[in-house]
Amino acid sequence: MVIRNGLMASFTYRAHMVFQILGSVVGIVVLWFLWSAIYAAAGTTTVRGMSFGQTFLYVGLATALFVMMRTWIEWDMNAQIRTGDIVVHFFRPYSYTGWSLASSLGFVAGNLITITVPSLVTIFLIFHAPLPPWINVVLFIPALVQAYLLSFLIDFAVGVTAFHTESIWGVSASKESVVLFLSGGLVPLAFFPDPMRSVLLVLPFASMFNTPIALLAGGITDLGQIAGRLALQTFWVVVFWLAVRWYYRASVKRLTVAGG
Amino acid sequence: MTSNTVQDSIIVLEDLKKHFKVLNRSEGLAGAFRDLFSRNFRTVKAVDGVSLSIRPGEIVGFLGPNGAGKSTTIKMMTGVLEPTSGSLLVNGKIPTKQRQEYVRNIGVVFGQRTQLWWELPVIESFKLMKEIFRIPQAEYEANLALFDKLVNLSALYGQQVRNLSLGQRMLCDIAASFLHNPAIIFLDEPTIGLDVAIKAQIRTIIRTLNRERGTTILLTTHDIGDVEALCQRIILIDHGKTIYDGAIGQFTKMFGSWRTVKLLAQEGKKDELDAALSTIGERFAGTRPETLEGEVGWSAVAVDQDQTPATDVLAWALSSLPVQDVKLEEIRTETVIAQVYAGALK
Repeated sequence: MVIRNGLMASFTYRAHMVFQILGSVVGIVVLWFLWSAIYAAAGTTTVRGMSFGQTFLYVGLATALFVMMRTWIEWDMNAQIRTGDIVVHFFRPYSYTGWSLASSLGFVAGNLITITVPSLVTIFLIFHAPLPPWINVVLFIPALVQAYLLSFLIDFAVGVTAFHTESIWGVSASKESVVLFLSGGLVPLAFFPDPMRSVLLVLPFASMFNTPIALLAGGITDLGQIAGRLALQTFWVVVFWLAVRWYYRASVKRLTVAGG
Repeated sequence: MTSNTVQDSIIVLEDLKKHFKVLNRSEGLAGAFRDLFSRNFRTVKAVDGVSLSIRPGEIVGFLGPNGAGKSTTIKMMTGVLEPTSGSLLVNGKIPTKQRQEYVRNIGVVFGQRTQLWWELPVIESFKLMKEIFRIPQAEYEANLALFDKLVNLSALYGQQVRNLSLGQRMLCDIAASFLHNPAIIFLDEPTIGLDVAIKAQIRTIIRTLNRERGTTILLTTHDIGDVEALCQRIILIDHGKTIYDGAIGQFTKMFGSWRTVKLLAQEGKKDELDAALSTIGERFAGTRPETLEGEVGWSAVAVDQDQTPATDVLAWALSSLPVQDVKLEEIRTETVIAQVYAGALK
């Protein structure tokens, strides 16, 4: 119900929706030209073992995922916490975290329709990117769900900082750039120097973008390796969930004891 | 209070306190910088030992000037703030413990905030409440039918909340808080900034639901019209302490020696009359000018007859002010409350 309402709410702004669809398609086209130019300048057909086609598929998918998972939930929380409207949720028999997750999912559903699907259509149909093996497509789904959960938990934690700061702009902007860069959301992790890459692969950020994308772009096909990456994702989801729950409770406790 | 009344009560507060620590701010830029490291706190006693008990089915007006501690008390009763000390039992539960279970049986409306989904039609928020509070279909439909009968609410169901007027939104917000038939409803300033017609509708909805469902209602307001239309009992709070708790009629009787003298200005001389009345307190002991709403052309003065006979004021007004008509009336509740805020009971 909350998910459905979130989706309906995002459809309220019709012009915004149309521009989102257009914007995502234009974004993919820009990426194509950007990376064509980079490959032309490099003068080789493969850079660090990745052909132009693979790289384009990778960054295209990264963009599609990034915009899909971006639900601005932290900004909703920021507004609610600053105005005090968050108390309305305290008068209802549910947990605020659960509510946020549901409304964020509503926006993801909206993003899926207005951004992700047009992007994927553009990537696979217009630019004829190679399709991955079917087993990868199947395993992409749990990888995507876990990646989304991680993304949500990080956003929620950023939102909770609004209890302590005047504006979450700084925290949110830093989070966005750190996550995008270290997760391989901006540049494929394959392009990083080897020692750095092996560290990044273990960090939670890789679980957000690199893992689901590598599955769909056909970067990893070994089943054991895939299972390992999925387990690592699960591990990070659990760790973040516990940490965020503790952080949220401590922040609310501070509010109820000290007053707001 | 006897243990018997405590058992019959749905809300019981005993010596409830809420103290906040506030940083003492220094002046200027250098001061602002020093404050970053300052440990110079002072304690603000927002609520300082409030005791009261409310029986099921009562409508109680919770009054007091701004900053008196009303909102803090309401926030503790609704489980948003944890008391510093004292005990608080609502519906047999401690609000901050088992919050989710506690809120199933209360409704809360803060006049300044909305619980409705901003971008969606009103009915979607109602359906959401039905889901969240697991309201049985029959109960939900019965309530919708009742709202419709009382204030023709179904006309608003299809409209997006962001397109509603403040009064329409408030009606919907109050209706939403009654949807799950809670035992208690907390209404914080439900009629603030609304026009007379909507105020009347809101009072109708509150009064009817209190009567038909036996809902206990605690209402904070600055509008004496709300109090007179709805409450049998008022609780006055100031500086974090209760200064009056009892029937509204009795409260007014404590000011039995007071009268309201109403004066109608001669054509075009209203300003002149008001100017003369504004300093009446200096001329006669125990008098003060009043503002009247909805009585065009009339000005008023409150007079304490223990200090000055109202006839003295009348004689003076008729002989030296541009007056064409007079009325002598009982003291208005509004005036009494203003008197109390100004310190009459201390």
